[in-house]
Order: sequence, then structure tokens, then C-alpha cells
Amino acid sequence: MKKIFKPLAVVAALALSTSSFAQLQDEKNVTITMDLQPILQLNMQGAENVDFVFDKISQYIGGITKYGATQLTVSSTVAWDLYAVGHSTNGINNFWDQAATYGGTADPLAVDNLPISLLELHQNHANPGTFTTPPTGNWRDYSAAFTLATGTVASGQNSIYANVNPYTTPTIADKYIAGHAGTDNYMNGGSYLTQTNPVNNFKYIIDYRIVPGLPASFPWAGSNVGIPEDLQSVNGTGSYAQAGIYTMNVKYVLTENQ
Amino acid sequence: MMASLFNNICLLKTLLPLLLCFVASGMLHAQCVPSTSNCMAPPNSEIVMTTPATIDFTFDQFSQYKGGIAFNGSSILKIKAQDNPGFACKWKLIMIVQTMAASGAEWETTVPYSNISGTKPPLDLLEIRVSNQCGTPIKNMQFQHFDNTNYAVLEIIDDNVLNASGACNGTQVNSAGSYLSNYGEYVFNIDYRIKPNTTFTPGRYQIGVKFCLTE
Repeated sequence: MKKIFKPLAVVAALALSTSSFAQLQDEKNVTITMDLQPILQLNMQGAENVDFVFDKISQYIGGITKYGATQLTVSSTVAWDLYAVGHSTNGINNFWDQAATYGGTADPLAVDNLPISLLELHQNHANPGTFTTPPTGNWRDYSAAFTLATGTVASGQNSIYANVNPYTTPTIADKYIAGHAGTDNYMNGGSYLTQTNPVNNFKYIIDYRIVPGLPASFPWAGSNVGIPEDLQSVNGTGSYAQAGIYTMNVKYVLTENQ
Repeated sequence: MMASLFNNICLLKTLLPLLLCFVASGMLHAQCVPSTSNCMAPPNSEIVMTTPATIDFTFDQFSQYKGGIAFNGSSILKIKAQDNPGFACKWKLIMIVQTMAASGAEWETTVPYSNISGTKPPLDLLEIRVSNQCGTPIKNMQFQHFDNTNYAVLEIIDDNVLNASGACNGTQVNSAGSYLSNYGEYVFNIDYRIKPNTTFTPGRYQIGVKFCLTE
């Protein structure tokens, strides 16, 4: 009897788990895909050519400043860094390209290797980035006010970051407009359009200045650790800029934080 | 006495695996398993979905990141339910979210667009709104989102009480009927919306939403 009971119990259990009618169970599936494409938008307003014409002694001494010549606005969906880089086509030692020479035989003291760093930038507010790893250069951005052209020289304080390859990002010792080198120094995503973060984080107004001095040796040119790069320091006392037309390129690069 | 006890233990050893199988299978499909047999099985009772089975949200403009993208009526579910002879069919319609992500709380990454680790979108990023002409869904015309749990459920129509069709007054109709004869109460429009903002790391992600009709 007990031998019969065991299989009967199994059958009963199976019978309990089913019904005499089929049951309703139907399903449909929808797959949702989401493509989050990274967006980095840098808008620039202002003249694409900024001309500095030095034809008065006062301009050599006092320099020429172009206030608000460039306005930069950023929209980004990812953490980002923004930097300015100066470069030229000659590709040698970060010097300006000489497009034309004025005058006849050049004085031996008149040199044409003008450093890119003679161009000074000023941004309207400080770099608001998160700096977990503090920058090591003397200046982390271009927010320091231009020093008086007749005042104490601060070599490199506002000098533009220069590199033969403009897509080589500045190092931790160089200047950034916003964010900085390293993954832990960055700006959060956002846009000047929506102001979810302080709007200043996404808008920068850039001033330009060149002070040739007399003789025209560009005393404010320097590295970001304060090493002078003016013509007299590099080429010897008495050196000055050969008269002529010089050009260089300033590139503003918005990049994903990396 | 001892022999009887021994036989009972042997019987338990036989039945226990069977019982465990039933319990386990019930747990695996707990959300979409019928508990009664009052309704006819498919194809007499079923969901008919003729809309695309894939919905693709592509965010390539900043305004889309901020404002979001909505697809209205991207899924349309048509229901038909028939009584089993002598029984009153009482069905329910639910949505279940599924992800293959290891965490179970976020979207599955199919293609990362950045080598920088960042925040992955959570399941509750997807907003779903269900509606029909008679307003029968529990949260008719309201955007809702899933909890950040794999297999989280949102109910469209529950089966707590049997509500007959025909009134078209917002009652959660769940009786026998068909979209062919009663479009307003047996057809459900599904809207989808995603507003990612700028929080998440770029990439291609996916999840699944299962619509389940059961009783």
C-alpha cells in the first residue's frame, strides 16, 4: 500500500500544479536603446584676425591692448578642459612667422625670432575648475591683471601657452582657461545656455596685449615658471625685434577632461 | 513505528525536490505568471503589438540632453481577453524592466564612447506614460519610472477587482473583451521620455521593457 502511495503522491502534486483550463499569459517586449553621444561645443565671437600695428613710440612703450576681442562660450555634456595655445607654421622653437621684413640690411642686433610667449592673454575671471591636483606653474590661468607696461616686469604672467603641436595639451605646469591637466582637474558639463552651473563657468572674455618695449625686446615674454624669454635674455643685451610683419595663430581647444 | 517514520522520510525526500522546483519556477517568473485559469490562453486572449520592438533615443544635440527626447505612442498594445467557459476572466497588465547590467540598477552599456569611467544611467531615467481613450490605466497620462531594480514592475491594470467594460469612465477595466469591439478600453498607448542632462558618461545603452498580460 505504501509503495502505491508514493507515486500517487507525485501524481497528485503534479495534478495540483496544473489546471483543467489553459491560462492566460502573454507578453510583448520592447527594447529601449539610448545613444548618449558626447557633445563639446565651443563658440567664438570676435574678429578672427587681431592686428597689432606699432607705428608710434607710445605704442612700443605702453603696448597695445585689445579688450574683449574674443568671447568664448561652452556647451558640454562631459567634463571638459579649455586651453589656449599659440603656435606658428615655422615649427621652430615657438617663434612667430615673419611674413615680411621692413628695411634693408639688418642690424646684427635686430633678430626675427620673436617668441610666441610675447603675446599676453587676460581672461575676465579665474579658472573655476576643480583642482584636486594643484597646478604647479606660477599661474594656473590668465586671470591675473596685466601689469603696467611701465611697472615691474612679471615674465610669463600672462604669456600664452606655446607649443609647436597645438593639440598637445598643456601640462600641470602650464595655463588653462578652465579645468586643468589630469583627470581630477576639470570642469563639470553644462552650458552657458542653461546656466545650471554659474554661467561664468561657461563664458570667457579674452583680452590680448603686446608690449614691445624700447628697444623692442618684449620684456613680458616668459615661461609659466617665470623664466624670461624676452629677446635680450635669449639673444643677448641690445637685441631687439627686426621691423616687419609677424604672424602667429591662437587656437582655443575644448577637450574632454583627460 | 520506526519503519513508518523511515517511509515518511523517504516520501519527503521524493516530494521535496518537486516542491522546490515549483517554488523556484514561481519565483523566477513571479511577475508574469497566471494564478487562475479563468481566461482563455493565447491566441484567444493576447496582447497584439504592431509597433516597433525597438525604440532608439539618440542624443547628439545639447538641447536634447537638457530638454530630453519624448516618443509619444511609440508602443500601442491591443488587448483581447476571453472567458474560459463558466468562468469570469479577470486579467492584469503590467510592465517589467530588464537590464543585463551587472549591478541590476543601471542600463546595460553596449558601446562605451569614452575611456573615462563615469556615472552610468540608472533604470529610473526612463519615463513611461500609459494612456487610452477611456483613461483606464492606474496612472493614466502620468509619466512614471521604474525603481532602480532589475525586474521592477509598474502596473497598468491590476486584478484586485473585476471591472466590467463598457462604461468608459476611467475604471480599470479588466474583464473579457477585445480591442476590436472596444478600442477605448482595450488599447493602450505608451509614451517614452528620457531627459539625461549632462550627468552620465557617453555611450550606447539599452534596457528591455516587457509588457505582460496575465491573470
